[in-house]
Amino acid sequence: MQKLANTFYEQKWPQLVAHASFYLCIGLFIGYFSSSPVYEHADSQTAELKLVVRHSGILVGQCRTPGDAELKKLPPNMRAPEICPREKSSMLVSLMVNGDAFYSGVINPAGLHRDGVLALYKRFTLRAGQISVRLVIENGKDGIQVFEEVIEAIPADVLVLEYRDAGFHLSNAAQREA
Amino acid sequence: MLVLIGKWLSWMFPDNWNPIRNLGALSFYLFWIVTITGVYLFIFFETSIDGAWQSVEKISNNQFYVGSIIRGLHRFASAAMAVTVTAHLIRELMLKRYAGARWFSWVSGVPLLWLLFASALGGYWLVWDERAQYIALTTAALFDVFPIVVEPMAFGFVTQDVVSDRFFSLLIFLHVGVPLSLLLGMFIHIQRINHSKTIPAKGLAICVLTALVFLSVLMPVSSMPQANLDRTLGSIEMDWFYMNLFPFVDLWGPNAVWGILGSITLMLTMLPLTARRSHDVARVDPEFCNGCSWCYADCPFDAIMMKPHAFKKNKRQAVVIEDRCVGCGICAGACPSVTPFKSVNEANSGINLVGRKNFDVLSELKIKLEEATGANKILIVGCDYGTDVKQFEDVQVVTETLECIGQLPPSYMDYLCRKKGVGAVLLTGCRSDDCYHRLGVELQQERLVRLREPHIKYADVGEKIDKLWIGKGGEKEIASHIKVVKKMLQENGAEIG
Repeated sequence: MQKLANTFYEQKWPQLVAHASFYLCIGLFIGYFSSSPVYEHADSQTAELKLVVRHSGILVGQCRTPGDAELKKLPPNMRAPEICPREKSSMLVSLMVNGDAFYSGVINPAGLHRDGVLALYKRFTLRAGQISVRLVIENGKDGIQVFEEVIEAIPADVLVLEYRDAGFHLSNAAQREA
Repeated sequence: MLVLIGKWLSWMFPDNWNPIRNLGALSFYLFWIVTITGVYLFIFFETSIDGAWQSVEKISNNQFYVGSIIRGLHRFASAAMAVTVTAHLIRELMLKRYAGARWFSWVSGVPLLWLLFASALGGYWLVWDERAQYIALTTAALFDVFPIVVEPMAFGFVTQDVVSDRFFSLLIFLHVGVPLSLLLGMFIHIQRINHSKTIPAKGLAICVLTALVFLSVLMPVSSMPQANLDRTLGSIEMDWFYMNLFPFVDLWGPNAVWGILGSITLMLTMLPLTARRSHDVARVDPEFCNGCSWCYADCPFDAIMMKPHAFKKNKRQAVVIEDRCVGCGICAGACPSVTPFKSVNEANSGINLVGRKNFDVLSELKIKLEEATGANKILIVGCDYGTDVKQFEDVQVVTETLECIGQLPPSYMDYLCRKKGVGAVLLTGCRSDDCYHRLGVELQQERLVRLREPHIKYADVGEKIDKLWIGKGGEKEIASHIKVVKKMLQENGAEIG
């Protein structure tokens, strides 16, 4: 009967060449696309500004002193001298760089009861050079706070503009390394 | 076009060495290469902010090729796995192997894609070079769109001094834990597959490993400069197999990318619902089931269970789980009770397809053989997924098409050759490692060479049987084969050797 099996030892040289070429092509395909072509993430003359806002938040309502009757209704471990609301106010953030509006938005407190921290992270690409930054924060009862500063950003520099409980802080890479 | 490519690949590769028909097994194999090389790399890896990048550089440069090759194998086997898994998905999709009993394997395969990407990208973080920095920042941007995250993940990568050594301990934990989940998922993925193929043929495995070693030597893997979160990123050497969606995060934003990923995941998961089709199922007749369990051993989709017999004491019987049954009939081909040599009623059998019983097939064949007028009749049996054999019928040639070639009981060939004057048999169907019902060709081959029960009983009948596992588009080969057989039959009389 006709011989139909196809084993490695029965292969002729064109098949072996095709076989090897297949692995060569697949190998080159995998090797090349594992690291090429390169992706240009950012222009070499640009810098980056990271806006970081993290604030524990300001309570919306006032704390009050509970009456004796109200305290008696509570379990002993919950009889605090003051009862404070949990909800915190939202925060309004607006950022201007070199006179241009870059960002404006409202940050809400985390959590279903709006009692968590207020946090924001944004990245902006800027042209390197002298950069003037103006950050305006409207934070509940604390009112409006304005931060303005001029800073030097070299190419590929990362500027970090922070607003935390402690206040404002702007730095470039050189300042942080120092 | 696809048929042509298939034929070309079959010509190029020896039997069972064709990577396109072993994509699942190759993916398992590549996973093990990545795991073993990963264990080696872990021995020399330092889990600290400065030590991570430096230790990887030392592995590449200070171990006289060994470290570099192992690192290359780790990287390239992982990239190759992305290729085999993607090709596996596309192939199964094109062959519509996602519906019916196969839904479980298809749906359980979808989360594996996520786990594979998470495993690979987690590995890139560990090198802590500029590529890792890019992945970290982009991943953070992706996860920070979810409102459930109290503080943005990006807070962890604001400046260089924010990242701590403990971060690398977490990364190692993830880079071990996620691939372990992937392995568990792969194990679940093949649970409804009987005799699943998770190891490729030795020759194929050697070829793939050799290619990966050559690749590691010719194109040594190198790191980008050490990550520095106080500097912006310029050109990134991308692994386009795993990082292909990342530039779109920069371009369209994370929400759009989540939209794309979510839509693809949903579409893939729902796909089995779009292709429901009715098909025949197997059913057991307990009266004639002797509990031999051959059908249980052969069922490709684990659709048969063995349980205590309904009414025969101390006996077992087969039970068909109809939801898992694809109606291939392989079980009926494996049932010893279908033998036509028995003295009792020929129609009685332990297991059979409900729609087209093996006895009906035999009856049809008997009639056709009686009608055929030529001497030394030739019987050609094909399957629904191979070349249509009906076109070859003539006065000497009788044909039959089954759902799967595994449905044909060897005893039928014994019977038809011995009792009905068949001079030659040609079995044809799917390609040998590409059976539509997974195991039909393989099991029938084993039955023919007496490696599996039930097998061909008479040696002279075995010599009359030939096989052409060529799939669709094999008209030319079958026609030329018939021509050769007819000539041989004419020359040699009734005997063929």
